[in-house]
Amino acid sequence: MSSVALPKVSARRRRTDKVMRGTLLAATLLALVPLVLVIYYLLKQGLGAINGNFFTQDPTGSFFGSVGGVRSAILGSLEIVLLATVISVPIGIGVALYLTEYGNDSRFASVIRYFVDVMTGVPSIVFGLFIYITLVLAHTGGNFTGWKGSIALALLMLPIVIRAAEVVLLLVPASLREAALALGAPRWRVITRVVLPTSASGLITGALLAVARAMGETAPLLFTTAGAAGLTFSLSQQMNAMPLQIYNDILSPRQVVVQQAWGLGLTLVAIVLILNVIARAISRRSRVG
Amino acid sequence: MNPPDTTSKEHTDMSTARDPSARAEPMIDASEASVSVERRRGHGIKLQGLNAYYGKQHAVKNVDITFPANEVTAIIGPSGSGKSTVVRCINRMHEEIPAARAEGSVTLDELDVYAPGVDLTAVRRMIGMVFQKPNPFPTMSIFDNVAAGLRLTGTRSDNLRERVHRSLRSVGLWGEVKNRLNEPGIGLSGGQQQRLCIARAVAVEPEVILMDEPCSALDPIATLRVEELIAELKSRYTIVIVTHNMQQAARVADSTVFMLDGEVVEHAPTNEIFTRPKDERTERYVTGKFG
Amino acid sequence: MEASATTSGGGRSVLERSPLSRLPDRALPWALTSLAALILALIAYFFIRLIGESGSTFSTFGLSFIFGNDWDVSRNIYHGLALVVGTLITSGIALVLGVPVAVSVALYITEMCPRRLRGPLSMLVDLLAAVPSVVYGLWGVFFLAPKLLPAEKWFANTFSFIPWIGGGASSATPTNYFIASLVLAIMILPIVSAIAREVVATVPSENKEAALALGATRWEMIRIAVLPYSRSGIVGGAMLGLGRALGETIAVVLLIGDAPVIGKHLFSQGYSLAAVIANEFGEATGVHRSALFAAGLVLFVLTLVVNIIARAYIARGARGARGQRKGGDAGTAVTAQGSVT
Repeated sequence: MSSVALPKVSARRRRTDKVMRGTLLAATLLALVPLVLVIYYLLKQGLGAINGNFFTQDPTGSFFGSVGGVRSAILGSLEIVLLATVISVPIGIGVALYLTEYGNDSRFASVIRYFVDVMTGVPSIVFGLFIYITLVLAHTGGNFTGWKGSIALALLMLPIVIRAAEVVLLLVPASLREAALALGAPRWRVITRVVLPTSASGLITGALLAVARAMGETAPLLFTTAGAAGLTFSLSQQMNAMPLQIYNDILSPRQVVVQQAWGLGLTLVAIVLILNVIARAISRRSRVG
Repeated sequence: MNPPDTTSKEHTDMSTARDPSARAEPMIDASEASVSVERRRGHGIKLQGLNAYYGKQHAVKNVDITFPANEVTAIIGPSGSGKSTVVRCINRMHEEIPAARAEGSVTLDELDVYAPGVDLTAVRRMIGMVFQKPNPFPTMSIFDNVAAGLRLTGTRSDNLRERVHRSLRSVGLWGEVKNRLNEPGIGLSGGQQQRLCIARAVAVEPEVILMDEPCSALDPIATLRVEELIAELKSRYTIVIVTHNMQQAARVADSTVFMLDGEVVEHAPTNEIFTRPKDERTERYVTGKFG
Repeated sequence: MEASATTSGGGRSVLERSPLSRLPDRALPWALTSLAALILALIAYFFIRLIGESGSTFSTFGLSFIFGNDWDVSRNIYHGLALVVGTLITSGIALVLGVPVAVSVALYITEMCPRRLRGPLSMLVDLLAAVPSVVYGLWGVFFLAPKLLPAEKWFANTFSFIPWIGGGASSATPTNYFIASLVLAIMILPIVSAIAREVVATVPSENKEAALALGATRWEMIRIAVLPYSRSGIVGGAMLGLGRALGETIAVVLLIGDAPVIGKHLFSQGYSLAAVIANEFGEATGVHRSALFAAGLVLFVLTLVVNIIARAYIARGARGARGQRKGGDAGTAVTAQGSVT
């Protein structure tokens, strides 16, 4: 007989461990249930709605007859978000450059950082209200217009772009900057020739994630572009957008219109997911490279 | 159940010669086969054909070592020689590292630590460990740190307090901390923190204490305190200590194992390994010619 | 700030560049700094304008705009307690439902699941954040709400003895506080989980090993070494989730029922600050519109306060991780994670 025996681990402790392991696993599976259900129902209801006219016609908005397609919503979203990107990405990267290249640990830089953080938590509807008050109420260049929606979305994207850009800019090794400076390059050239190219893929990833977020936002657009059924390429008119169209369709009593909302919802989620996948792929490649 | 004769005999000879009074009791332990009260105090560890891997890297190669009961065994060797890995295999902490695995047998007396169905939790309760960097739980008080292991096993309050106090006394920390038991453990100095960690390991009354370079983050005076403590603790525990400091091995260990590239080069009584090593590589290492 | 290598020559002409070529180096920091300052100014300007536009509401109704319970458009009376209560109730329930699941997911992914599954699992949970809120609204209105209604009625009947939860069985409608809260819980899950994951990952392995070496089981290790260490970071993450839930508009306006009263039961209809703005904006003019701005202002201040508290907790959590990583790193990573999801 051995003179030594392992102490008994009490049944209670074993049970607690098992139960907690089980609970954590169950919670993880539970968290994935809504994802599966949402995607399943989008596919189930949405694929049926996508027919020949879906991408080629505009919504009619009428209570009878054909409901048309969603062309104006998709094109409108693309235009509005494109302008929002053109506004927010350069400004966002500029601010991030200030933070990493000049501000560093200065007091002003930490104030900026803090407010950018706080901005990420501002509800998107509040950005809509801001723009409504400052631009729509003032009738600056018309009442509800596409470009005002773009500005509201740009405000929303800005903190995302700044934070993502700051993180990747910080990853550029100081030795690289010093090497360029030691060659006699002026600081701005170091930034444009060394810092930005080195972190390009990370910056693109951050921008794409911001675009994906903006693509799905409804609330800021409600007060700024207001939505319209017809197709327009002019950003200075009321414009349709995918989330607006879905929101309006949900409120419709017509079954076919609701069906269209599922189809457009599927389209929107597909676009957002593709943007996410591309963003992740780019950031992964850059990390490996 | 007994360590191999050669080792224990050589070893008892050596230690008796060095310090007869201190070694008397363990000497009887190692040579007596009968189960006496004294004998129950400690249990030896035996590694046979131990291999350990990190992914594809073969870190420990076919190691056989016997760690006699109630003795201090030091493992020395250059960085990357697998000495820490060996120790982490004994209480199966090695497998906590992703992609790490171990094969072979580790027995605590006759109890196979790697037998199927063995509860890891029970193994680690029996084989305590002290780490390289003092790692008291940062959110716990001094008292709670020592009580952490006892609380897991459901020790109740009165008994708990007494055992915590006794553990703190046994590591010589009682006088220094008795008035601030409720202060955070990380408020102590490095040396005190490490003794707190030893008290934490001792509190659950394990059979064996593994120490993985316990003094490498400490200053010389704190190191001396811990070394004195090790000498006291061996009357009740079997101690395995990994160290990169050869003087430390010489000061605290009864026998010393020299490892190189994942293999055991030599295992002998400490004064023998430092004065007349059998292997040329050991000689070159202990005389500071490499590593 | 100037590159020392190019100016170290003092006044000597060989080492001096022409003023024109030095211009960008002067202009760039100035331009970037003013860009950053511009953003601060813009936020301040918006805030002041919002206060200005909602001023007439507060001067008319005073504090009863927040604490009075009577929102009646036809009589032009705007006492918005029902909105504030609805916002707090739905966000509170969303936290109660969402945070335990989110933290469990984070713990499972970082401490328990096989290493190979970590990446894919994290990605799947993050994908929950990629679904736009209008799509959650669509799904909630046409799938979740009708499907859950029988279960809600059964629940309200069975537990009718519990105040506030039970008793409303007969009046339960597909759109109600609970269904809005449930969808909010799903929507905040990814951000809370992502931050909890970041925070848990900063727990030093020494602490976890210390617990295991004492003979702790996997769960006991989480309980004694992981959770106490990451508590403030997790609280911060939950607060950020709360901020999201408070301001969420479209999914809530579609699911809460849009009744400007304080619901008597968990399964009654109600209203929220964001929902009332989105819903009544189209036809609002004059005092009504100002009241909606005031609702926006209350919402803005509420989320601002919650976010400031959240940042303080997360910063404290990151300071706790100091020594393992560089001071600000954990915080920065957390923030980045929070903003991209």
